[in-house]
Amino acid sequence: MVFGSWLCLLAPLAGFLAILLLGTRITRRQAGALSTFAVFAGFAGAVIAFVDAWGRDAHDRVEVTTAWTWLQAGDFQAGLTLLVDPLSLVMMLVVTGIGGLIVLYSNGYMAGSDEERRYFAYMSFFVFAMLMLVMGGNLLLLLVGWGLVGLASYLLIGFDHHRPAAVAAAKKAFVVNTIGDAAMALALFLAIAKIGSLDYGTVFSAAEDGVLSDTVVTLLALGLLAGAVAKSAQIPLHTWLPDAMEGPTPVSALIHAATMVTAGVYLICRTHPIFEAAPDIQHLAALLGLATLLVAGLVALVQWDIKRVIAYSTMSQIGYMFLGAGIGAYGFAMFHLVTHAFFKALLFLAAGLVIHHLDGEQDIRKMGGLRRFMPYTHATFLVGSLALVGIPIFAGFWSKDAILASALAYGGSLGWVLYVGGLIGTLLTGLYTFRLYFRVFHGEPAGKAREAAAHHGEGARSMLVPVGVLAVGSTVVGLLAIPGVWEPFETWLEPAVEPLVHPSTGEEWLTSLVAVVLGVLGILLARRAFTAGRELVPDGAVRDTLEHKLWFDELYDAVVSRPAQLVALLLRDRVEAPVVHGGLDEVAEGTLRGAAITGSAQTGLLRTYALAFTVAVAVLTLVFLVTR
Amino acid sequence: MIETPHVDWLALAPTLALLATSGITLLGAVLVPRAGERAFAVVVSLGGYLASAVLAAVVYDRSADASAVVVESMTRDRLGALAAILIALTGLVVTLVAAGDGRRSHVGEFYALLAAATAGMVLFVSAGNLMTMFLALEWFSISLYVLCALDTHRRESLEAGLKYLIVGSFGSGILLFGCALVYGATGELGFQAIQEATGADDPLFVTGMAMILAGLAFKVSAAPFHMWTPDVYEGAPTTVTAYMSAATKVAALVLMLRILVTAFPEQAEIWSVAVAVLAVCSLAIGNLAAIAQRDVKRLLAYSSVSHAGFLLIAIAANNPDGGKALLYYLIPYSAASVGAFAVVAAREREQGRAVTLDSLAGLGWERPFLGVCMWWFMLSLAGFPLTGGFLGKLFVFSAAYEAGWWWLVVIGVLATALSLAYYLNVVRALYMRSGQAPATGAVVATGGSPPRDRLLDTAVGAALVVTVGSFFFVQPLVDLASDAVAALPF
Repeated sequence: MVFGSWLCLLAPLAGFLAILLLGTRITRRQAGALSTFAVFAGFAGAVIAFVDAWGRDAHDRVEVTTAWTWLQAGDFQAGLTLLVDPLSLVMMLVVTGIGGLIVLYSNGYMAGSDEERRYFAYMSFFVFAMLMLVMGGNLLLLLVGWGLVGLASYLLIGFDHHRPAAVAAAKKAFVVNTIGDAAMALALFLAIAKIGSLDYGTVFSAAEDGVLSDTVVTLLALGLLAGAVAKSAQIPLHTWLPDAMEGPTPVSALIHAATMVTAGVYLICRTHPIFEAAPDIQHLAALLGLATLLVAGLVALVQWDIKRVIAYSTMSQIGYMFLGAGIGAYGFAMFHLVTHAFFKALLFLAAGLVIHHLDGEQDIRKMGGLRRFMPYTHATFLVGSLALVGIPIFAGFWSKDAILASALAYGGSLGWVLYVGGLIGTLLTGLYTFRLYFRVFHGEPAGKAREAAAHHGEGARSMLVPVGVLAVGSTVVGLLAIPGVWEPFETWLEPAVEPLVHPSTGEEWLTSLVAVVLGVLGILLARRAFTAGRELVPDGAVRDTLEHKLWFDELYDAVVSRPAQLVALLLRDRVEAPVVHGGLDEVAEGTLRGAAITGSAQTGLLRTYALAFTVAVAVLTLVFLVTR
Repeated sequence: MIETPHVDWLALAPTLALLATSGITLLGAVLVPRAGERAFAVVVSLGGYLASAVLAAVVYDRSADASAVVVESMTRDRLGALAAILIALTGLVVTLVAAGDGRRSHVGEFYALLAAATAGMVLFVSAGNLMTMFLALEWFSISLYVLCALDTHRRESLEAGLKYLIVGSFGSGILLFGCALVYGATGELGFQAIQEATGADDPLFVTGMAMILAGLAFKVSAAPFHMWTPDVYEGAPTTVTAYMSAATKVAALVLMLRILVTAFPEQAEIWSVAVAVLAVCSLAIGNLAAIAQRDVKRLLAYSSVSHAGFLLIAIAANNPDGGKALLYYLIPYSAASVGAFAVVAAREREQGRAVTLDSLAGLGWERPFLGVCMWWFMLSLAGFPLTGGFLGKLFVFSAAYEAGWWWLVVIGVLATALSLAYYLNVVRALYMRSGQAPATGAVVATGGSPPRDRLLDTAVGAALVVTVGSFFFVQPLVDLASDAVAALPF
C-alpha cells in the first residue's frame, strides 16, 4: 500500500520533470507518450494500493507514511506525510485513471499543435498536484496541493497564450481561485493559532471535543467552505469556470470537469468533522449547491457554445455534490463525484471529437446532423447525455437520485427545499442536455458540418479508445450502488467518512421514479422544441438575463473590479509615485553613494591595509581593556 | 630511554592522509612523465581527500565524548571531525574544478600545496593549545601564500601572493603576540588550562585575547581586517580563490568558536560584544562594497566578507544554537561559494580574461547547466528558500534572537535585503544581454566554444546538490551539527 501510494504520487512528477529536463531532446510524440506512461504508472500505483487496502479489514485501511521529516523544532514538525485511506484511494483512482485516459486522448487531439511538450509537462504536473491535494497527510499539504492545482489550471487555461481571450480567462480563474485560497489559508492560520497543529486528527478531535469556541469553528468551516466554493465554481465564486473553456478541450475534461473542480467536494468530505461542528456552515454549503445547480441549469439553456453548455452542466452537477455533502450524505456525494467524472469526461471528449472534426468550431448553431457523419461520436455522446440526465442503468441515475433521496430522508424544511429544488434541477438537466444533443447531432447539417464531413474521419485511434472506455464506464460504474441490493461503494467509504443520513430503500426508489419522470419530461420538451424549430427560452427579458448569466460578471465588475481599479489608480498617482517610488529612489541612491565610498576606501596599497589593521587592533585592545 | 607520549593515531589520521597525499603528488611531479603528471596528481588528490573525509567521519563516529589527545595539544571531538569532513570535501570539489584549468607549469606543486594546506586546516580545527593552533595556522597560510602566487606569468597573481604574504605575516604576528601575552599572563598553553588558570582581570591577558581575536578575524576576513580579501581573491588563481573562500572560512570560524568558548568563557561578555561589532562592520562593508563591483571575483570576495558577518553573528550568540547555526550555515555556504567560483573559473577559461558582470552576459543561454547552477548559488548566498542558505540565515538569526541580540537580527535582515542588489545583478547578467551585445552564436563564430569540462560540471553539480539538498534534508545535518556542538562547554 505504501509502495503503491508513492508510485502513484511520484510517477506523474517524474514524467513532468523528465519532459521538462529533456526539453527538445525528445520529440513531441515522445513527450506525449512519456506523459501518458507516467500517468498510467500512477494509476497502476493507485490500483496496487487499492488492491492491498481491499484485502484488509475494513478498519485497517488507513495508512499514514512519512517520507522524511523536513524540520523538527520542539513540538512542531514539518515533512512530507501521505494519508491513504478509502476516501483518498477513490480520488487517486479517479484522478490517475480518468487522467490517464484524457492524456492518452490528448496525444491525438493536440497532435500538430505547437508546444506539445509544454502541454504534456503541464498535464503531468497537474496530475501530480491533484494527487498531492488528495493524498496530503495534513491540512498544510492539502493547501500546497490546492495551490499547485490552481497553478496548473492557470497554465493550462492560458496554454494558447497567443489568444488574449485565453490569457484573460486564465487570469480570471487564478484571481477568483486566489480568493478561495486566501480564505482557506486564513482558516489554517486560525487553526494553527487556536489548535497549534494542522494535523487532520488533531484538528478534527479539537473540533469534535468542543475545545474551540463556536465562533472559531464557524470561521474555520467558513474559510474551508470559501476555498471549496472557489475551486468548485459554486455561487458566488463560479464566474471563472465558463471562461476556463478557453483552454484545450482535454484540459476542460480533466481539470474543469472530472477532477480539480470536484476538489471542493473532497475537501468537505475530508474535513467533515469541522463542518459537522458548525452545522450552519454545512447547511450553507448545501444551499449554495442548490442555488448553483438551479442557476447553472437555467443559464445552460441559452448557451450557444458546445463547451460552455457542458461547463454549466458541470457547475450544476457539482451543485448536487455540494448539496449531498452539505446534508452529510458524504458517500453519495463522493459517488456522484466518481460517476460524474466518467460521464462528464466522456461528454467533453466526445465534444472534443466534434470540435476536432469541425476544425475548431464550437458554436452549436453551426452544427447539426452530425449523427450521420460521426456515428461513434454520436453513440458515445448519447450515452454521456443519458448518464447526465439520470436515465436508468446509466451512471448518473444511481448517484444523483441517491443524493436527492438523502435530502428527502434529511427532512425538515431544509430537506424539502433541497429535495424539490434538486428535482427541478433534474428537469433542467434533461432540457439543456438534450437541447445540445439534438442541436449537434440531429436535423440538417449546417455550414461547416457539411464541408468537414467529406475529408475527416472521426479522429485518431488514441482519441476514440478513451472515449469508448469512458462510455462503457458511464454505463456500468453506477452499478456500484444499487439501493437495497448491492452497495459496495458506501460500505467502502464508511470507515473513512460516516454519513449522517441513511435514506431507506423505499425513499430511494420513490425519488428515482420522480426524477426519471422529470428527466424524461425534460428530454421530451427539448425534443418538441427542437422539432418545432423553437428555442426553449423565448426571446425577452428572461432570455436576456440568462444570456448575461444573471449579470454576475457585470455585478462583480461594477462592485469589485471598477472601484478597485479606481483606488489603485489613485494610490499610484498620489502615493506610489511620489512617496514610495521617490523614497525608494532616495534609498537606492544613498546606498550606491555609500557603496562608492566604501569601495574607494580600498586603495590597493599595502600601507593602507596595514594601517587599518593596526588601528583596528588598537581599538579592539583598548575596548577590551576598558570594559574588562 | 626517552619517554614518548601516547599518540592517538586515529585522531591524527585525517591530517596524515592529506600529508601523505601532498608528499606523493610532489614526488609524482618529479617521477611521473610529464604527460601523466596531471592525471596522477588529480587521482592521488581525489583519493587523499576522500580518505581524509572518511577517516574524519570515523573520528566523528567514535568521538561521542571530547578528549584531549597527544599531550593535550589537540582535541579529538565531533566539532573538529565535522569541520575536517567539510574541509576535505571542499578540497575534493576544488580538485575537480582545478583538473581542467590548463595549467602548464607547477602542476604537481599545485596539488601538493593544496593538499598540504588542507592538512594544515584539518589539524587547525582540532587544535587544543595555542602552539598547535599557531603551527597549523602557519602551515596552511604559507601553503596558501604560495598557491596565490602560483600563476607566475600573471602579475595579478604575484601581486596577490605578495600582498597576502605581507598582510598575512602581519596578522600572524599579531596572533602570535597575543598567544605570547596569554601565555605570559596564565603560564598555560592549553585552551582548557587557560580557562582554569584564568586571572581574568589581568590587562596582559585581555590584551592577548584581543590580539588572538584580531588574528583570527583576519583569517575569517571580517571587517575591518578584510582589506586583503578583494585583492587576493581577485588576483589568485580562481580555483585557489574558490578553495580559500570556503575552506579557510570553515577552519578559521570553527577554531574561533572553539577557542572563545573553551579558553575564554569567563570573558564572554567582552568578546561577544566585540564579535557582534565585527559582524556588523563586515555586514555593512561587505554588502555595500559588493554593490559597487563589476568584477565577479571581487564581488564574490566582498560577498564572502558579508558572510563572515553572518557567521560571526552565530558566534556572538554564544549559545549552543549559535554553534549549531554556524556549523549548519557553513555547509550550504561552502557549497555555494565553491560552486560560484567554479562557474567563474569555467567562464574565465572560455574567454581567457577576467570575468566581469559584462562578460558574464549570456552564460545562462550558452551554458544552460552552469547558468542554472549559478543562479541557485546566488539565491542560496542571498538566502532564498529552497536553498540551504535560507535555513542557515534563519538558524543564525534565531540563535541571535535567543541570545537577546535582536538589533543584530535587524541589521542582519537589512544586510540580506541589501545583498539582493548584487546577487540578483549576477543572475540578471547571466540571462540578459545589453542591447548592442552580439546575439547568440557570437562565441561560435570566433571558432567554437571549448567543449564542456566534465569534471568541472561534476563539481558544480555536486555543489548544487549540497546547496539545495541541505534545504530538503536539513534535519540530519542539523542533528550532526548539534552533536558536534555538544562537545563544547557552553
